[in-house]
Amino acid sequence: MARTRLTATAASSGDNTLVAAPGAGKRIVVHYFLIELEASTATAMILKDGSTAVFRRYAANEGDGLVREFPGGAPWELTANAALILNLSGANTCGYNVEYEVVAA
Amino acid sequence: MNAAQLATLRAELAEDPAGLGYGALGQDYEAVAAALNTRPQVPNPEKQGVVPRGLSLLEVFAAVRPGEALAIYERPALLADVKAAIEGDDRSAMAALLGLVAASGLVSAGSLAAVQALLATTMPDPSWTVTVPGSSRAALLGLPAVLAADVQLVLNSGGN
Repeated sequence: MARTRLTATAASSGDNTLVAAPGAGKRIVVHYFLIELEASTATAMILKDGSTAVFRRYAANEGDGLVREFPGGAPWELTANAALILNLSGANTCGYNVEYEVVAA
Repeated sequence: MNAAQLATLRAELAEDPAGLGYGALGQDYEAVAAALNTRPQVPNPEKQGVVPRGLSLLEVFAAVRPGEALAIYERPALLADVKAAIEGDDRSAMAALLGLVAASGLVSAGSLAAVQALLATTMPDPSWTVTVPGSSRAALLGLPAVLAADVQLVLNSGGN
């Protein structure tokens, strides 16, 4: 299945859905993500596999963030039919880029 | 926060024993942190005290016999100091000047006693308030000031 490159912003306190749950029998596979604080208010970012926190970063300053490129053959496979969620500690804008694909679970 | 403090916070948010309504705040972590950090107003445990009552120059001179007051008015330097002490509510300066005029014989014992009585008058402490800030819920739990990120962390399961 083809990879999708996604770029947008999130700014809600709590859960922000970056990639919606793909449906029964499918899973999201992440190859790369970058999240960057675009606001000047310190913000903690938690990247979640559905409801499970997986990566966390406390971005103290504008421009701080979280980035990970998964090596070929070892992408981040989310739980079947789970959404990719960015949880923010406050309603502060964060930009993000995600490269992912949806595969059969 | 350390692990024990996070565990305390987790239990507090889950049980809400004080009924602060964390559940209704949902994922507004800043609002939850604010609820924990707010110091509620509680009745002031201290009784309202009294403070020396502020005096005016006219009040002080009204307590002194007219002839004696006139004698003070005829000494501009002394009058200026008396005025400054009264207007600045400088009690130690007033006491010193009172001693000075008493020693110089400018005022009689009767006038001196009247001014001393005036200086001893008090009024309720205007800075006293019926309520004062009490302890925050966080402080009652032995927690430092709670950050939105602390709330976020305990409301989201841990990962790697």
